[in-house]
Amino acid sequence: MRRKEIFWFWVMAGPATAGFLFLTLGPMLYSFYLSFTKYDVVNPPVFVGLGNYEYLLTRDPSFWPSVKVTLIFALFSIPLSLVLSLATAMLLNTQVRFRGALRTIYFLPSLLPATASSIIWIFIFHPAYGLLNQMLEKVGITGPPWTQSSTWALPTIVIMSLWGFGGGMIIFLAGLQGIPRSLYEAASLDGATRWQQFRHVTLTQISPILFFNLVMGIIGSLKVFDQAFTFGTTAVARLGAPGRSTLFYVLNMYQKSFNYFHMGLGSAMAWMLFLAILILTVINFIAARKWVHTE
Amino acid sequence: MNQAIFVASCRLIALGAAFLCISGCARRTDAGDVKGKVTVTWMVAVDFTRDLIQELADKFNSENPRVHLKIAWVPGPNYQAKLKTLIAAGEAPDLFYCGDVWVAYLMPFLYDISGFVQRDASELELDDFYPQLIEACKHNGRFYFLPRWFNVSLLYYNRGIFREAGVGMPTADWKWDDYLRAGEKLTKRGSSGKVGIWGSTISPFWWGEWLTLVRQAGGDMFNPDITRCTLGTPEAIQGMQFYYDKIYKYGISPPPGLEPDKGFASNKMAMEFGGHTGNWITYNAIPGIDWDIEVLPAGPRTRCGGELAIDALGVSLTTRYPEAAWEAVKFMASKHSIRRHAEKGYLSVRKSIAKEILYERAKTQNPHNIKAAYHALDFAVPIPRSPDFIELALEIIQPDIDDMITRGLNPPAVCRQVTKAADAYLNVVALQKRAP
Repeated sequence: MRRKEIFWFWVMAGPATAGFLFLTLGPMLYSFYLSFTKYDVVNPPVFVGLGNYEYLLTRDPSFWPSVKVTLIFALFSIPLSLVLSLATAMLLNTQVRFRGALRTIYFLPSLLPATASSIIWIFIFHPAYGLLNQMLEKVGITGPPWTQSSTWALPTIVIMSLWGFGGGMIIFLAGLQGIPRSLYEAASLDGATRWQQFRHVTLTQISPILFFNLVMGIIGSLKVFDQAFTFGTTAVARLGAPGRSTLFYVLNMYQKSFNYFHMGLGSAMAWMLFLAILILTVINFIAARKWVHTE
Repeated sequence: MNQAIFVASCRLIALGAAFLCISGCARRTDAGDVKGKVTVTWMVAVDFTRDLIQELADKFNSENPRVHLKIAWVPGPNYQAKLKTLIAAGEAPDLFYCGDVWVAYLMPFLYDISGFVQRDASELELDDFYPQLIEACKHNGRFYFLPRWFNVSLLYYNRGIFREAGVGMPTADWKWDDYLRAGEKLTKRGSSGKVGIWGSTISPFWWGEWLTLVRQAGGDMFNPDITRCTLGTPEAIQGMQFYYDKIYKYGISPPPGLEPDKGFASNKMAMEFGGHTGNWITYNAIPGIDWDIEVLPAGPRTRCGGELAIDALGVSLTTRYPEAAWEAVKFMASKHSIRRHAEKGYLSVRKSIAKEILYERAKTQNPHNIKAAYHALDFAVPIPRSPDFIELALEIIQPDIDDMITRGLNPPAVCRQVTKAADAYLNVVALQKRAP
């Protein structure tokens, strides 16, 4: 029986294992090797040791600006997205009319591909003929040059990114529905205010979900590409523009690898990102012991 | 685990991997292949020329008994990414478009077609091509692609706006001052201060316009062998200052983002500096715009410095059928193909077609001053063919120029700042080139 089980395990898991080994792990290891080489696709890779890492960290003019853009984006988009999705989930967890329809409506945008929704938002944010500035003008406000300004382009992308908060909202909603009513009743009997109930019951109970959304948010925001690429090709006709204000880390990595054929530098950037995400996730898990409530 | 089962499982995984490898290495047979013919693939970005390209490909296929030209359409914005990814994967299409700035990176992947060009020179009628365009198809004296149409920097102007304002039309001897004075007269502000008609466009986020102005002032972005940035010279700063002053001093051009929808085609822009000949079709399709062209106004030192870009077709270095691919390139540069492009509104790369169609059509249709487009070839500079130039211009210099133009930063300070940054990068490049 056991032999048969093992055999069928490998029959079922074999294709996925082979796929992982040869289509994921293999290329990953090769890119790790490439990160120590100078490789332009035309000529064979030349081993340069830690040269790519040293160049990126100390001399590359676009590396640190792209790190800065990504961190600023993460700093604003993650908390805003978490607050927005939790607040909406809490509203949709109350006894409102058309609750089901509202949940669907709020969730729908997250199903749209980031590229498609970005194009729509870019038109909305156009300084001269975009819907937003035209509406602002109607109430006497001159809107900023959103997409065409080095100062406003990144805030524009942060706002655009909030459009897809529905995914996080649904997870929060599931968590909120799992909180026993008795906890609120007990808190109420003890004289807890609404804020205290939220602080000590809701947040504590959904802390594992908050933690999950936080970790996924950090990983997602460090890997932003679709929106930045669409913005660069649609709004300003140059990736990373205006200035370097939308030069996200992964966009910079893509430019180095596929526009300028610096595959070694691109691979080194990919591995540094991998390491950064790994470290941040480990820190998150360690910190979670202090604030994530587990039964 | 039983050893036999483990070994059997390993075999199973190995079999799966072998299957993946074999299927990955198998020669691709596409739906578009035609039996008995060699199929070559041309990757084309989808735009409004789709019908024309397909029509020409169909004609080529019907006339050619040995070669089948298959068009692989790619959405416009994805074109460069797709092409470069295919090249990086060793799966480059047999033919691809060359001539824009990225050609510097495509050069190592292009087949040297000099032998074919020399062999078929009489059939091609090389003398029929404008010599500046033929030169632009060469790299180090060797041919790598042939042109279909071209773009050259010009001064576009809206005759209706000029007439209404009572301003004299631009002429071939205009200088920067003439352009500025006209721009100031043509810029119309409403009672609220909001501009209704702008004197001229400005091109942000790209070097096309500011580099032209820098060159016309006697400067340049780099020295000839691209070992030193020269944007800090007084001449270059003068050109950059003029670019900046169009918005911040003279107010003839809108700050980025405030330009009217559709730019020059909106009928709210009196002039367009540089422009693109690929837009002629659009301009002529919009009713009510009476426009024409002239050579660029001369700067303090020269009229030279505008951009010359060709829309050309090259053969992939990795093609298995260079001869067949060459047949397609030759056909696309043939008189028939160039005539069809000219009929659609593109600038002809052949003198005979320009005379036969464009000069005739100019008598009744915009632009009337077609000879200015060919005259401008004498003042234009082909797009640089050095990857160092492109990377420096796009990654180091242009971002700071963007900040200058969107935040109103001081041009001399920005010029000195980018010179320092570009020189630092060039030192790294020099070190790398000297390394064994």
